[in-house]
Amino acid sequence: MENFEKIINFFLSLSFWSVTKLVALVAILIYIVFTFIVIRQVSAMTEFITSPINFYLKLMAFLLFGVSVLVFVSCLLFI
Amino acid sequence: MPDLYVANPPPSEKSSNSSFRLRGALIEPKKINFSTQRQGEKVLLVLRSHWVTNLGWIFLGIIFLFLPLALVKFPLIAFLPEKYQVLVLIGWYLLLVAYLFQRFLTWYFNIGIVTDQRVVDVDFYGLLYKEITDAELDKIEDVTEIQIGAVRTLFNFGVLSVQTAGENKMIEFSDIPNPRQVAKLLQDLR
Repeated sequence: MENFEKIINFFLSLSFWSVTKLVALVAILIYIVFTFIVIRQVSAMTEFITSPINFYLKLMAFLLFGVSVLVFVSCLLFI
Repeated sequence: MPDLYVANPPPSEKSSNSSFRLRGALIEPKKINFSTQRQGEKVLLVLRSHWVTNLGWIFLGIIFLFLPLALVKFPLIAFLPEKYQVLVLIGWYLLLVAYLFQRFLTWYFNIGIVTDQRVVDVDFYGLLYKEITDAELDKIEDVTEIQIGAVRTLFNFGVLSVQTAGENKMIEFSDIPNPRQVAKLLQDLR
């Protein structure tokens, strides 16, 4: 019962902006998972078909992943 | 001889990377291969959906690219602290880039390949579904071209259905340019 009260108190002590930050972090985390799936998918596609722009497509997929991780870290540290 | 496919095109028609384009189809591309390609099997044609089919998402992308400019006139997120406003804009552009990249990948890798031995249909739907169907040229029974609507007639693209005698009864190439010429080529090859 005491633990339950502690949990309730913890959530009550959270400010509106802390909850907003938490929601933003979760959303970016989902985006990171999505970009990881994109990397896997681009790998599967480029493995099946060899084309002159395969390198650029892989680069783009990794860039997307990198940027999303960067945004997550920035959100964690600066917001 | 069908005018879409010329076995040995004159050098003047070839581009610098040894492949050349003719009415939307890549003919004898030297730099495009696929993993299940047999030894000695030659890729004759690579077919993608007509470029017109991309106009919808490109147009949408351009609108969404400039949509945040409307926030100057209509400050919908002005109530947020400055840091959160920046985060919303970054999130907006991340989603936009992901959407455009996804649409491009879907277009670029959904292809039909005609080789000197068979036809291969490669379909990637979204991120998680892949379907690769192939049929030997001598198994082709019937080739049907379907062209419906003003846009398809104007830009000359449509669906090509290839009926085969194999396990995979039907192979369909969606919105490919010059379906009639490709159909004629397949009829000549089989």
